[in-house]
Amino acid sequence: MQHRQVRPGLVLLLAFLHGLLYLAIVPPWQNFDETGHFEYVRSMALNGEQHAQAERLTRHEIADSMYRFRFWSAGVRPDLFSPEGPQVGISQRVHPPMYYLLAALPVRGTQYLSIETQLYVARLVSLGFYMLTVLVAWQLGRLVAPDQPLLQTTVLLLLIMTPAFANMMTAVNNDVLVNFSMACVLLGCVYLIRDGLRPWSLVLVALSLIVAIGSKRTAVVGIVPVALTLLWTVYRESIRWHVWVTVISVVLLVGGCGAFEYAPAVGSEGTWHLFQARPWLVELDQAYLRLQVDHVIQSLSDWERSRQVYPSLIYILFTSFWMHFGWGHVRMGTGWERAMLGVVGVATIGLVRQVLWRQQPLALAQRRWILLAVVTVAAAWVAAIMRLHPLPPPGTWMYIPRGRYMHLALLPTLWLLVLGYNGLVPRRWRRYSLSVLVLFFMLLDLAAWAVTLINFYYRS
Amino acid sequence: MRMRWLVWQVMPWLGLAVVLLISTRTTTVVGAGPAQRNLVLGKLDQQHSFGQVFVAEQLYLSGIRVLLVPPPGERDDLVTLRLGVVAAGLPDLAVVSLPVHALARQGMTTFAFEPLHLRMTPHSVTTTLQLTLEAPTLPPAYGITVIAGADSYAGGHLLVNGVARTQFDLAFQLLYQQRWLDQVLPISRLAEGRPGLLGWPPFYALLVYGYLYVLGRIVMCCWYGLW
Repeated sequence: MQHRQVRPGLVLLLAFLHGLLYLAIVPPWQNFDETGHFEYVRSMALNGEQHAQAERLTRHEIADSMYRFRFWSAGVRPDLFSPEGPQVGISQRVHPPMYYLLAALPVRGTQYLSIETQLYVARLVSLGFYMLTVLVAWQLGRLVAPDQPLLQTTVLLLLIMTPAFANMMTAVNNDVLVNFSMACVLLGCVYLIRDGLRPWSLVLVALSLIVAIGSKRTAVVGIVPVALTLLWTVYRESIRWHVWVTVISVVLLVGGCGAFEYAPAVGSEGTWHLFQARPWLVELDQAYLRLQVDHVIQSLSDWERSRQVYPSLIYILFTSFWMHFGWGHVRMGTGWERAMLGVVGVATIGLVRQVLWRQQPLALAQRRWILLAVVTVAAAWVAAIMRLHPLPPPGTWMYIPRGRYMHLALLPTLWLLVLGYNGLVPRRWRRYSLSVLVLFFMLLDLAAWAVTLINFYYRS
Repeated sequence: MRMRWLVWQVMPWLGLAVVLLISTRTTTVVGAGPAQRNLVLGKLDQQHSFGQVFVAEQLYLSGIRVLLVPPPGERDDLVTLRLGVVAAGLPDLAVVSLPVHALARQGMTTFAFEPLHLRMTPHSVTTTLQLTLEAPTLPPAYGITVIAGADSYAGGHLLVNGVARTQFDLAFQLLYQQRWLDQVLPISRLAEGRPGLLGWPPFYALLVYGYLYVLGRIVMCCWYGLW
């Protein structure tokens, strides 16, 4: 059969309409920390004014709008006349300013219009990044599987129709820029893997990684695929297992010694030795990472407590990655969660089957892309799980990280999902297995906006 | 070939027109009301007024139907329905007057008014409303029979001369204005309070149509070209 590609313009139009649907359906302020993120954008739009008067006025307008759009339950009214202004959520000023600077550009032009208009303008900026992410994914697909338009189109449709991702990418949130930048990082990595060390590919990777890290600390994960890609650009041939072992050992040894030291610690019980972060890492941690590295190391060693929390953490990470909305409180139900688990499980079987039976010969660049996808997804999961640490004292409230922190690895996740279904059945049935996958995502997405979101916000 | 061209070129625009039509045209739907209407409660005249407290359930209240039995003859005295919030001292939201001879002799009489926009929020004080029926010039000899029923409406109670009679409900029905499409997709509520284009209900209908159309085009393209 003569394969022909779906026109990218049509895919972009689909992404635009789909994103606009989520942007329009979700009421104002009903996305993760949207109040705090928008407050940051507004302050940037007002030429970075951070004096108390401007901030109070912004919070006043946001709180008024939140009340009008029934953000709080009945009877709760914001204190608009408090001297420091009403509380509208957690401040997001701890984040680097990259995303907020970009979102503030069009907001500045609308600063005299209603606060909701300004919010929607900021959301439109996010929608633009959503479309650009789809465009990057389209190009990545052309590079990775140039003779497989079916795979390319399937990944694109899945990317567009992943409900939680579409919801996140049309919200005011710096994760939007991280997700787009990470897609660009992966695109640059694919160029490097395919063509070797070329200046433009290197610039693309470096610039994208800088933008990602300059947007949010979660993007530090991006260093892992970039490091692996750089190794591959040096070794253009297949790497044997003993080279892998050597490289990984050296990286762990150098990284470990460079970042940590076995130093004496002084406490009320005397002096003892333990592993501690070196001063440069402590400084970086305080200025950017905000992980409390030393406490994390101690917390990780408390396996008894971690063991109790991990199952619910993994459940929340998995379900919120695919299908949680609002401030994490709008959910699609256990039926869809189980169905998604089944879909991922079947894809995993397909992937394992391909690895064990080596069904089709792949080019080295393609094999490396698959490995890069696996490593990126694994790194995103590990980083998200690490966010749980340090565990708070027993009996106190514990923050459980959400799947949106792993959306930066959605593109490789979808590639693995599609490859899993592609390898599940004999070649002549592949189009049916992929059709089933696309159909599932179409139904999932339809149920997400037409049933879950509309029922929650407009029929309750 | 010509037929296929017609389907591909004309049908999408026809669909668009249909969506625009069903998202702009409005219809009247009947809301909740008491289940029983089997009691003759009294006579509405210049000495007696009747009323009912109720809760509006939808966005646009456009009329109220009341079961009244007019006296024989063609009298021109006016029967007035006043609609307001329960709190005293506030102005009426709507006032409708009909001459006695215009009251329905069979079935309910409709008091229609310009649709009232009622925000359906737990914070709103305007969703609990009160209707009052008066006939300030009608002599008692020509009183209008008012029909009621035992208490079967959860949203309020009957009033006689302004005094609550909680064991009864007036025989009434609320009429709401809705867009045709609201029954499937609540476009009026989606647009409520939004700025600009987002505040125009048909926008949501057109957006959904556009999305489904483009998705359909891509799926068709894949089906014939890829899958």
